[in-house]
Amino acid sequence: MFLACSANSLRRVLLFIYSALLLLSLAACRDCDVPAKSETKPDAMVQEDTTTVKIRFLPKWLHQAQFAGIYMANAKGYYRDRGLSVEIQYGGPDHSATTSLRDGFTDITCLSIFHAIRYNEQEKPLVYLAQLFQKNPNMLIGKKRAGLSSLEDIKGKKIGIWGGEYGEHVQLFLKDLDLDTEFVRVNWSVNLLLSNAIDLSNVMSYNEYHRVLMAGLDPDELFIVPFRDIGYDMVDDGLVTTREFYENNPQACLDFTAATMQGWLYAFEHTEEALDEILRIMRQYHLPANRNHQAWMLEVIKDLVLDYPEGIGVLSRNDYDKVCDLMEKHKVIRNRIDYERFYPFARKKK
Amino acid sequence: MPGKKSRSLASQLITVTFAVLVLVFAVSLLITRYFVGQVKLEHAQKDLGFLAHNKTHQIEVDMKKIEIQGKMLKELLSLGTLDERELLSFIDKQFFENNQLRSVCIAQDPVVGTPPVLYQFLAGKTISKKMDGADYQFMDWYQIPDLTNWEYWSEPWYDTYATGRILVSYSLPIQLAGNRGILRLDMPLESLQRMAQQVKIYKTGYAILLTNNGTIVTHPADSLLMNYTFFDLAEELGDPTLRDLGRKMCSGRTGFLRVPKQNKQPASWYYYLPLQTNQWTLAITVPEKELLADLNKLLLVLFVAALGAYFVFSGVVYISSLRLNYTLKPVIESFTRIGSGDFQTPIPELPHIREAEILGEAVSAMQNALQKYVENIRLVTDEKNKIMDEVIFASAIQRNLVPKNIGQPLSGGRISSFGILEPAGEIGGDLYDYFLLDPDTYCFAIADVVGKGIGAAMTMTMVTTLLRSIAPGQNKPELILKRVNGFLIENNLESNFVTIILGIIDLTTGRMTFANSGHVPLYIVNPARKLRKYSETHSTALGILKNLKIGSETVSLEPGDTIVVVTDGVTEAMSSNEAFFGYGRLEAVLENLPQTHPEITANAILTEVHAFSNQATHKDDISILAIEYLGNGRLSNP
Repeated sequence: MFLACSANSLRRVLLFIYSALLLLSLAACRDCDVPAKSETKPDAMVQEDTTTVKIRFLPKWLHQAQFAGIYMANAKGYYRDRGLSVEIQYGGPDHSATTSLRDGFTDITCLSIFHAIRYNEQEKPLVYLAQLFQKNPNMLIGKKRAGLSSLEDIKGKKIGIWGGEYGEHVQLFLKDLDLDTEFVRVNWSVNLLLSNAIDLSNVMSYNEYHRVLMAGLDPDELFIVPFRDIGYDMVDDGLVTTREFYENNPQACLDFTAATMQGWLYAFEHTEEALDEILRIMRQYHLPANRNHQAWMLEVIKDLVLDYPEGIGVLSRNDYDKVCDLMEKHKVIRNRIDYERFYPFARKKK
Repeated sequence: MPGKKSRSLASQLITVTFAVLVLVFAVSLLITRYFVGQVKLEHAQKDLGFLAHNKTHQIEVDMKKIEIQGKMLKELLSLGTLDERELLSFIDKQFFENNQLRSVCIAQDPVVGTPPVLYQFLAGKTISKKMDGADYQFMDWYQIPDLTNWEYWSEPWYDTYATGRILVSYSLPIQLAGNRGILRLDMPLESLQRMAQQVKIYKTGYAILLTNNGTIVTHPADSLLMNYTFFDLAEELGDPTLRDLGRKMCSGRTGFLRVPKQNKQPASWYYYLPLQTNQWTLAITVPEKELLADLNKLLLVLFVAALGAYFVFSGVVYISSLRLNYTLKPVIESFTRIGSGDFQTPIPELPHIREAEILGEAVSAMQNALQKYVENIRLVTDEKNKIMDEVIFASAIQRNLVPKNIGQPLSGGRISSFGILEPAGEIGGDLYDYFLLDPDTYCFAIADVVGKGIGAAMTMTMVTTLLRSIAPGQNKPELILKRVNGFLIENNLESNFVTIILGIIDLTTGRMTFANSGHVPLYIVNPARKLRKYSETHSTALGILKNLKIGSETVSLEPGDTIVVVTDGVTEAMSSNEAFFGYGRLEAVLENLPQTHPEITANAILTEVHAFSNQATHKDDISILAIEYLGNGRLSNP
């Protein structure tokens, strides 16, 4: 385990402790988790020691505060300090992270752990570098005036679920609940819910939920079901790379991960500066730069990232097994990959 | 008032006036502001409402056209009789009829497998193209009317597939050859924005166009457009009032509301109403200070006017008070001189002010009264001085009536006397006397006239004179006193009560006969300081009863015996703690005399009385007479 810290508070003091422990952990991990140079490609490693390693990172979505750690690690020179040259690519619905990873256009991206495990088995072996979101941000929301006040009321309602890799695991989980609902595939718009075309919608706590509130609906007018409150308490986004890239660049992967987490801590501690950087990047790509929304997103994600009491960026064996259990149950995967092989930075059992 | 600095009349008048004016002015300003403000707001509501209704009407003209065109096209498509050329021609005609209609899209259910067809007016002619690969069925303009089966005005959306512009679309569910589909008519958002942005009212008033979701479509701050909702703005400003306003505006209602000042946003008024077509909201907002600018100007003018009036008034009061002060100055000086005792100071002419005239009359009356009073005082003082001169003269006479202590024994050295008379005032009512009735008979008396002052002194004088005149030839004290009593009764004197001891001593035998009429006891001290005390009185005081019976007592004196008689000024001398000197102390003095010499004896008593009594409170005459019987031969004191 390269990150061992103990805190789940959001307060500045604990962030400082996080930072200190993060640096200590990084020093320790150089000796314990990274494969020995002789096991991989000696030439590449020699090259790594003397030249800058270029890494292409693709956000899974459009530029926004969801990736603040990456932006701040880059802006504050944490990557450069570790001999990395990181290119932050343009993501979004038209730039699929898994496709880009498969086709070799991207070295590292972030995926929900569900996608990462399925992709690892079905398409290309992956290595999980870090667990970013320690809590599940998925929620179902609907208007109370549509007759929603309990889970039983969902029966027969239209539920908007995102298409493709973004909504599949949600749909599997809801099927488990046997709620007898009608799933409607939707894109990313909350307008279907607002215009009453559907009764409930799958939203992220850090994003679409806030857009619904910012369309004038108050929380007490909404029927809100956080997935983690009804049993779907799986972790979500994490950093992934292909096994090939990892084995060729183990130290670079470790450094990238460590620098990224350091970037997250910096972003949480310097919120206004982080927001400035996020908005600068959004404007650079001509994206609507709503500071208020990005501030909300950063605040909620801070809670998601810092939630795990044992450390920032850690994928616990328990969380990994929970996801695999669901996937095996629904036959999404046949054989789960060994936890420590999938997540090489896992803390070794003593 | 001591310790309190007095303020000038002008200062007090100006201060009081200022306080009253401020109060009156503040109340009048508040009342004016409230009522005129209400009127101004009513007018503003009408102005903003009129403008907002006109503007929404203007905005909706093209949108309503699009709705009509959409419904016509839907009807035609449902008939299924148009071929592709006729459809193109019809749509081409629609582009000409409504220049805000920029494109038309006919999309069938994806199940059919036919891609949507987009009609655009480009380079002067209408062209159509198939939208292959477009993931259209999950876009709002398709999915919402498809799911609800309602006509739907979309939120602004960025058309990346064809026009590359932000569009607002009107979508209608249609049936095409038995299949579901959506007909979409597009207009550019910028045309709506342009119309709303034209709104200018007051100095900085502007229009905000909000979509159903509260997205800000027009606003002076470009960074908010298509980016923030009104609720984002409220949240970022931390203004719950703004959020409440947003909810009202997005609920399809019409209203006129005030949003209080929050952070750096000034208090503003919003007039809002919905568009009838797509239920978007047009709000016109104006800062309150602009709406009430005329009122504020009016209030400012009133304020300045009131301030000016106050200063003018203060100036007038100040000058008037200065004039009054100038006029009053000689009066004040005159009063000051009167106050310092110069009652003859003339009072100068006072200003013709009622209060001043009354004050002048009062001072004048006081001046006259004081003059009379002072004259009376002077007369009384003169009279008193005369009386005092006479009293002093009487005192001198009285002292002359008392025998002088010559220090030598009388009658061949057979008897020696020493008397002390210490009146409480200039003159007293006590007396003592001694004289020889014949060469062998010695007479002495000590008396105390009841009362003080001139009356008592006169009585004492008369009694002394009377004793001297009637005593010769008498050897019975009681007869002498009886005559004195008769004299006092007959003359009905004011102070006619007299206590007295009168004694007659036969110097050859040493027999002493004495009568005590209400006086303090008589003491005889022998050379061994043994005392004999004769307390019995032989009658009451003289001057009370006409037929007074008076007795007498005869005692034998041994050579060396000293007779001591005093008045009650000795025995009733009072100490500071109000104790009387009394007989005990007198007897103690006599028992402890160093010598029985009359002068030593009398002075010893007086010294003790003085030491005992509080001189400040000593109010009675003191008389002491010591007589030493020396016998036929002179005795030397032990």
